[in-house]
Amino acid sequence: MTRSTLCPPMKTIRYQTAFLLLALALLGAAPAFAHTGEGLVGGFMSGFLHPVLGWDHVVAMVAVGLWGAFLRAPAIYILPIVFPVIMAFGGAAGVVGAPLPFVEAGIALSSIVLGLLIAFAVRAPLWLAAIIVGFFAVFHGHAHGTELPQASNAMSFAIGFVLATGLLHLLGIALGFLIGRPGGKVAIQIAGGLIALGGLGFLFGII
Amino acid sequence: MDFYAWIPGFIPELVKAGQLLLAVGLGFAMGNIKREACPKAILLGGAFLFAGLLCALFLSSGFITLSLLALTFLSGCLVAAAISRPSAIYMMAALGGGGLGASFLPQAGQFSSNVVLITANVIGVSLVTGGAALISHWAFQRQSALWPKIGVRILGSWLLAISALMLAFELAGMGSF
Repeated sequence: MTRSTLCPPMKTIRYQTAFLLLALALLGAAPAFAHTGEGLVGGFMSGFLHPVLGWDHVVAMVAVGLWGAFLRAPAIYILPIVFPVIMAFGGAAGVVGAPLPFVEAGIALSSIVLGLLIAFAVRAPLWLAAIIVGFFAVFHGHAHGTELPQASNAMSFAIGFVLATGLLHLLGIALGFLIGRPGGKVAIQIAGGLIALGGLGFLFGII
Repeated sequence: MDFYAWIPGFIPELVKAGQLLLAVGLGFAMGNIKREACPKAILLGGAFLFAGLLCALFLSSGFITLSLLALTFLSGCLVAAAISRPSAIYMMAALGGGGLGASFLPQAGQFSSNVVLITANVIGVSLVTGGAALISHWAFQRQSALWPKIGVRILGSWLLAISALMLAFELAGMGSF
């Protein structure tokens, strides 16, 4: 895939903006349904809100999408495939009670590392990027897995959980399209720096 | 015969136990093979669906939820990795068809209701699987652009992730399908 197809001109920017607004609207509307853990809809909303309501998770997942957009194809779609899959395995480990040390520190570190990778525009090879993203996905998944509510419908919970994670990645990718705009690359690098700072805040309990 | 007996065949039977997810995953996987191989996969899937339905009428299917989730996981793997080897898809169609059929819950002693439910189930599964296969075929075989392929592969990875989580729920005794 060429740069022009990933960072298209004005013709498709409207679609990207619409997509970004839709993703934001979906994520923003979600808290209105908080604490509805019963039944199909309740299970879905519980699952959907789980990744969305924790800032440490949100920031890391958006960072995965941003870094993917920064690395361009095929990382732009491989990373958002790798993260939810590995995260689900981490979540499964958490659900069945498998222990994992330093989970909270791992989550905070994910924001720091991914933020720094974006801030310094590090172009890691695909295999290394996938390993980094997959490594941190385990911590995020495990944290979610150990906090899962008991009353939810399992299937709708899992669907909501994975969908919210995917939408957060897509939000990051959509923001990553700014890279084709004037000053976009610098804006994304600044965002990466802010993500890393946020990670430090999570690590030391300031945020 | 109660007309409304069709509705549970279409919707709740599909939603229950992850049947819907497996039907979608199977469709996505089948849509990614060449046109010549497609009829064979459809025939295999259909034959095993009927075989599974027949088995479900006579056998208990307590283990079936885990099997369905494992098959959804496998179909998600095939779609996410964009594997289009006919042999893999044939095997998946046979296993998936049989699993979907075997997951049918017959009503004890009500032959006519079971016939209606089975017919509705077959139509529901065919529609969902066929729709997903059409989308996947369009994305993988008809489009030169990369984005439709990426979209279907991402959906496949979501199926994989959802089924992995559901398997964990089931193994931890938290499944409420």
